[in-house]
Amino acid sequence: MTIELTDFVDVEQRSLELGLTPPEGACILPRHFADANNAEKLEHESSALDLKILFRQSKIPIAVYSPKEYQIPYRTENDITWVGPLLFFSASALSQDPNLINLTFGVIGNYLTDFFKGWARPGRVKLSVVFETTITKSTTKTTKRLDFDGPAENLPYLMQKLKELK
Amino acid sequence: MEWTTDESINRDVRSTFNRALYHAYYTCGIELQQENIRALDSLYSRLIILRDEAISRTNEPRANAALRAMLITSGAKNFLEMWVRLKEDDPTEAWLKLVAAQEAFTVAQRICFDPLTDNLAQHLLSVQDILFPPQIFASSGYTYSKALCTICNVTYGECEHICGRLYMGKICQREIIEANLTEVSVVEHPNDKRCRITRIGTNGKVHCTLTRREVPQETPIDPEHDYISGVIPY
Repeated sequence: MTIELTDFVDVEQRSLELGLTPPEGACILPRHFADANNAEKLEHESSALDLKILFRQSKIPIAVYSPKEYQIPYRTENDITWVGPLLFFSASALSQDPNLINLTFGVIGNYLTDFFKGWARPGRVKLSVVFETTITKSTTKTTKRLDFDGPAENLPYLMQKLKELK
Repeated sequence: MEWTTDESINRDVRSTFNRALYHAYYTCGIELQQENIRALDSLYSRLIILRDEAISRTNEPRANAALRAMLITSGAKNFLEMWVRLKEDDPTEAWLKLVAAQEAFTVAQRICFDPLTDNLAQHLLSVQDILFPPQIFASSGYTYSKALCTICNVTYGECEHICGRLYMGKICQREIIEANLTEVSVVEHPNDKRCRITRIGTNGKVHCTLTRREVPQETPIDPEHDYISGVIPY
C-alpha cells in the first residue's frame, strides 16, 4: 500500500485557465485536471458515474464536475484494478460539513466491499483526493493531493491521513 | 421431472452440479462429460424459464436465486467443456471455456457467497496455472460520452441502478453507445482474460502462445522485427 502526498494546483484558478466554470464545494474532478493543455484532454474515470449514483442516494453533496463549457468524456480501462476518481474537497465544503469525509469514505468502502465480493484474487484500488487546507490568520489556502494505491480494506488509512492534513 | 417445490429445484440443481463436477477431470470419459454437458444445458434452459416466471410475478428473491443457479450451472458446464476441448486438441476454445467458468462462479459469489463455490473458484485458478502456459494479457482504454443502464435503458448515472449489482434476476451493466479507443496496454491482471497475446513472432517465425506450435503465415514475417497479435476488449 502507498499513500503519497503532493502539492496540487489551485482548483478555481486552474478551471479558469482551462476556460471552464470553477466547481463549487466538493466534487469529482477529471483526470489530467492539473496538467492538461486544454479542456479536451480531460477525462472522468468510469467509476465517477458509479460514485455519482451512490453519493446521490446517500445525499452526499459531491457531484461529477460538469462545466457547461465542455462535456468531459468518461474513460474506462479493462484492468482488474478499481480506479477511483479524483475527489475534491474544498475548504468551504469541509468546514460546512465536518462529517463529509466520514460519509464519503463510508459509501466508497461499502461499495468496494460489494464490488470485490466473490473475486478469487484480492482487489486493488487506486483513489486520489484533492483537498484545500483551512485558512487561518497566519496561513493562506494551499491545495494538496493524496494518492492511494493498495487493497480496499486499507482505504481507512487514506481517510485518516486526509483528516490529519485538512 | 417437474419442479413442485423450492426443495425439488435445489435438489435437482445440486445433484446435476455434483454429478458434473464428479466428471470434471481429464481422465474421465469424454462421452460421460458430454452427457453431463447436455444435462447442464437442459437444466440451464429450465432455470431461465423459472427466472422469467419469477420476474413476471415481481418475485425478486426467487428471480435472483434462479440467476445464481443459472450461473453455477453455466460455470460447471463451461468447466466440463474445457476438458472436452482439451481432449479435442482445441486449447484456444478450452481457454475460453475456463475463463467463462471462472466468470460465472465469480458473479455467482457476488450474489451469494458460499465456501464451496469459493473453493471451486480457487481450484479453477490452479487449473489455469497447471494446464495452460502463463499468458500475457491485454487491456484497452477508451473514452465515451454516454452509456445506458441495461436495467432501465436510461442514461447511466441518471438512474438508481449500479453497474454490477443485481436487480430482479438481472445484473446491471453499462451499455456504451459510442467509444473511442485510446490505448492498449499489457497488464498482469486483466478484467477479461479472453484478451491476451495469442501469437508471438521472433526470427521470422510465429508461434501460438497456448500450444507453442509454429503458426504458418501466408505473408512472411520480417525476421528483423518481433511480432505479436492478440485479442483486445473494445
